[in-house]
Amino acid sequence: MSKPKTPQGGPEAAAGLLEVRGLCRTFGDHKAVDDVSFTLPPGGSVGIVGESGSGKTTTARMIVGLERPDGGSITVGGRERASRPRNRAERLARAREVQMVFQDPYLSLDPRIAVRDCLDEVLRLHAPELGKPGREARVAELLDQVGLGAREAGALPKRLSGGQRQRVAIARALAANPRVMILDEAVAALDVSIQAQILELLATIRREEGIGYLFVSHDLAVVKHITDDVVVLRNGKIVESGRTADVLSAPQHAYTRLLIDSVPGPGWDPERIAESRRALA
Amino acid sequence: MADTTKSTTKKKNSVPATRAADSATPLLALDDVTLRLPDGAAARPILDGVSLRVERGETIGLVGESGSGKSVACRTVLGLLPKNARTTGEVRVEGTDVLTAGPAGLRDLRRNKVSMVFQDPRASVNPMRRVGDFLTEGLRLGGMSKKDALARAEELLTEVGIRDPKGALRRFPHEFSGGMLQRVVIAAALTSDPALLLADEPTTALDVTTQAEVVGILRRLQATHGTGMLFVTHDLELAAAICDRIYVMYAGRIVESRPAAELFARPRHPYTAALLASTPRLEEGAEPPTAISGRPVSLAEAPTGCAFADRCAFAVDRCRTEKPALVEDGTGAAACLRVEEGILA
Ligand SMILES: Nc1ncnc2c1ncn2[C@@H]1O[C@H](COP(=O)(O)OP(=O)(O)OP(=O)(O)O)[C@@H](O)[C@H]1O
Ligand SMILES: Nc1ncnc2c1ncn2[C@@H]1O[C@H](COP(=O)(O)OP(=O)(O)OP(=O)(O)O)[C@@H](O)[C@H]1O
Ligand SMILES: [Mg+2]
Ligand SMILES: [Mg+2]
Repeated sequence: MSKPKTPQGGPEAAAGLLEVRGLCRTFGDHKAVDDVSFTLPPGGSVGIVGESGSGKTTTARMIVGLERPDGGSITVGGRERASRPRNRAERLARAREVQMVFQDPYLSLDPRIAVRDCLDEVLRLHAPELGKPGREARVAELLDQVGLGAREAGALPKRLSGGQRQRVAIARALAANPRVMILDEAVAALDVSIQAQILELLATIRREEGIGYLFVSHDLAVVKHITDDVVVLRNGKIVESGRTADVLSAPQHAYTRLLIDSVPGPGWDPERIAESRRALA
Repeated sequence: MADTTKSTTKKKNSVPATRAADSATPLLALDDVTLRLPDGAAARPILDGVSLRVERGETIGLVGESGSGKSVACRTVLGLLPKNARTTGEVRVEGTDVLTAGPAGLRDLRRNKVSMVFQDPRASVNPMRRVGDFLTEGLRLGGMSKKDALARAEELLTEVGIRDPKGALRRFPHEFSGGMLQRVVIAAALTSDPALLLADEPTTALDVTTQAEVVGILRRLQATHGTGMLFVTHDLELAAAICDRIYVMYAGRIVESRPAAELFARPRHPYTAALLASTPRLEEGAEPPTAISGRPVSLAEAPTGCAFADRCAFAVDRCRTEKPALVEDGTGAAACLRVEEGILA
């Protein structure tokens, strides 16, 4: 790889790569995100879980900068990003630091642009120093890293399968050389065998690049295998957080218990799940 | 397995459409169904000698990765075929062959016997029409008065757990969350009191708690109405939790079928085993999911031997030249040349 980043060390190591403090966002009179705080250590992986409407995407969008918080702070490497950027350079630097991959990359990939050009575009914006030959080499490297071949490189998004499109979206995020990657239900739409491929790919990338992951999902079985820490959101508030293994083996909050019980597996009982959900309401 | 290239000549209307549903006739029977696109459009059939059964009150799972033919199989049951597709074999609902049924027969089938629920509830409703109109449409077509139809719709909405059914009838789809709208779609599917429900990934777009609720509703309705259900999913854990029996599909063929618990505990086909290994598990100490190497067979490829051979850890030369037939064993059937050798033990 061109520039593997060391996960440890650096002045912000102790402080955490991404620090979110007291984050709030209200839509009308609905508090979508209510006083959310957590830390993503350098090279770490934090899961955000919760049912539909719990505020996961809104939290993610504020961190990337697609949504402005009403209150709270977000820092990456110690630099504040909740406020308005002062100039273009600052806006670019922020965009580069945190990249997002969505559930359906089809909606976020330009349908008229071939995969290779889509990656080239990101490099022109975020790595102008590379020059044309440098960009070409880097595009090849990125495609190789996410397991896409020459045929896919020349293809338009509509000619690719769901799993291939998700690889493109990951390559595009990597092209910006980010420090944090936010994956919002990034494997939810994929069937299990493709999902497993993408999860393996993400694990390899984290190991090799030391990029921190914020992994948004309602599926705890996936979260178990891709995160170190987890934050459980309910109605915009954190009800529980901690090491993923601890939270899953000894959940402290009834809502976390409900999320765990909801995952299909041995002893799965829909009637009981519906009951505990009603009891919590 | 019977020869899949048998002639397409069909007995026309040999079974009266009104034949009573006696218990000896399976609710749904696919017998050696092959479905091909016109020459040149694909190198292999989309469905290749598919046989399956659903009995009254049963939940039967159909699993397999994207593109394996699950949705096409479901739609075939409703007589909805890709344009210019050619079929051989039989699809019988309560004894009536769907593939040779005329327009009147198909209308009767869709209106009175079989309903389908799709993955995305928003795609199955007209966003401009109120939920009440959507729900009563079929009932009115069946000759029910407006008042009775509304009363029935309200009853069904209550059954699927919508709290204010009267109010819901007046609302538009966008005023419902995904989970609530899927309940409305299920209610609509039940207006005809179908004998068979085709559920094509009905919960894939929902979060896990809502999925559990929707599945709970489907199961309760099934118990009270005795409906048979064909449940399509790629989530093996979910299939194992709710299905009596599961069919595993790969590249248009059934490669294994077995009672759910048995399939889970002791898969015999390497593809089933690989699918199980790629499913993330929540149990303590569960291994991380393992991807299946390679990629699925596209419609442009027609492998001579076993379609899974290129991705199979157990494949030998023979697997690339000989097509394995689905062979019955003690609890089900598997289509693998090496199944006898106990390769997965
Ligand atoms: N732009 C917006 N305007 C108004 N309300 C919004 C907006 N965006 C989100 N909301 C509301 O904020 C709440 C949280 O939504 P969010 O999308 O963050 O949930 P989520 O946890 O990502 O859910 P899902 O699992 O369904 O994606 C919801 O009640 C949603 O309706
Ligand atoms: N109307 C059609 N015309 C031509 N090809 C079709 C048509 N419908 C489906 N196919 C092709 O048939 C194959 C099987 O598709 P199908 O939709 O049944 O897959 P599936 O198992 O339901 O997959 P998924 O899990 O993605 O829903 C695919 O290769 C698909 O592209
Ligand atoms: Mg979301
Ligand atoms: Mg499908």
